[in-house]
Amino acid sequence: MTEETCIDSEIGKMLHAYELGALPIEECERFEAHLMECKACFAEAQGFCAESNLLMSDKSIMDEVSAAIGGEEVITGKSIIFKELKRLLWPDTLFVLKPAIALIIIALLIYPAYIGIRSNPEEGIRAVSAISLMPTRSSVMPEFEIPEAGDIIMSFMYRDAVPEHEYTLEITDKNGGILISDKSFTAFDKYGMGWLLIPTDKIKAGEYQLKLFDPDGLSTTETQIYEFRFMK
Amino acid sequence: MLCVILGYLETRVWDILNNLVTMARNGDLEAEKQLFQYLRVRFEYLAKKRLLKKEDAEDIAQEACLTVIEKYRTVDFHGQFNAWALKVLRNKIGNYLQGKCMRDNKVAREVDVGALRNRINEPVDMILISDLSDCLRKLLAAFPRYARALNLVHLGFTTDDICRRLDIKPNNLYVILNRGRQILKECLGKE
Repeated sequence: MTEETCIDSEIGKMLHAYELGALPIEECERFEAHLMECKACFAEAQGFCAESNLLMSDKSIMDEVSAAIGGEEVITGKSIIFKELKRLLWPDTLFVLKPAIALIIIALLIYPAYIGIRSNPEEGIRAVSAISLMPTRSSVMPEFEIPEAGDIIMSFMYRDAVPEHEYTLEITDKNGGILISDKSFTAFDKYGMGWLLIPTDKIKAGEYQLKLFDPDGLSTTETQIYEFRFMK
Repeated sequence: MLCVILGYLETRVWDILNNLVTMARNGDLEAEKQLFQYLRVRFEYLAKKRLLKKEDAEDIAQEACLTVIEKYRTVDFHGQFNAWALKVLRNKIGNYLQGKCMRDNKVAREVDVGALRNRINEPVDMILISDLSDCLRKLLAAFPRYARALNLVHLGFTTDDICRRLDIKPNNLYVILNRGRQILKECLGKE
């Protein structure tokens, strides 16, 4: 600057911004306090006072500057929105801390999951609860809760059952009302274990009886009866 | 090392001023005169920056100086003479603006911000304007970043807004402005 040296170059460098009246009020007050102390900055400011006033307020000077720029800065709208968006997504930070990078990573993580959900071939399958009926000597009737959602897969044993052979299956309630009746039930495996899907909407709380028999008389077991209870 | 030197310089300026205040408080008339002179030039400059009329600015600077000289012997400014003196000046400017607003029926803030735009009614120096225009034309062509920053200042933006628009940091803006100022000074033969 002049023969003197600025006592605080951090504040001293705001000199021309102050002269032009561009500093926000807090910075302006800070710089004024600096001018009270710093001989170098004060001498510099005083020596350029007339010029800075003209730079700031003379109409012909202002027109000259505007003409040199071509009035480009008056444009608002799209360019400003783009700049603001760029500043928001691509700030001047470390590469890994840029929000745009984070958004891309999140999108890359979420998209495959989204596609997977959209293209699930088993869409429409409902959850199931499994219950099992086995021959027992106990007199206690097995009890099962009706699930709130989904269907029930019931498994049961029919000794000497042959796979692919047709059996008669009936599930009746206490009053003899038929819940399920299938005269060509074939879903037995080679160990005599059968499987039946019961939709939940068909079931009500109460006692039921499952009756299995072979109409052709191939099995040594004549009729297998299971009694059970569904509860809410 | 630089910090030590800067710290030393700062201490020196503070010491000189504080010594001046101490001496003046102890009845040294020469020191009081120097103190008054020190404050007067600074107050005038600062008041002119804030007020529209040069005469009003000079009156207020004078008033603030007198208030400081009247009260500095009795007021306890906790070793912060500069801060206290500046506060006196700001209060004077504030009172002036408030009175002016009441007379003109305007909002104080508007006048203050408007005044900060530096429009002081001074006689226009046509030679200076002509020289400045010539130099500025060259500068604007050679240093477009200064031109853009100056144009944004003319449009009323503060440094934060300008930095956002030019996509630069405040430090860079200050460097650009000071560099432009330096070139202008060299062109005007003020170096």
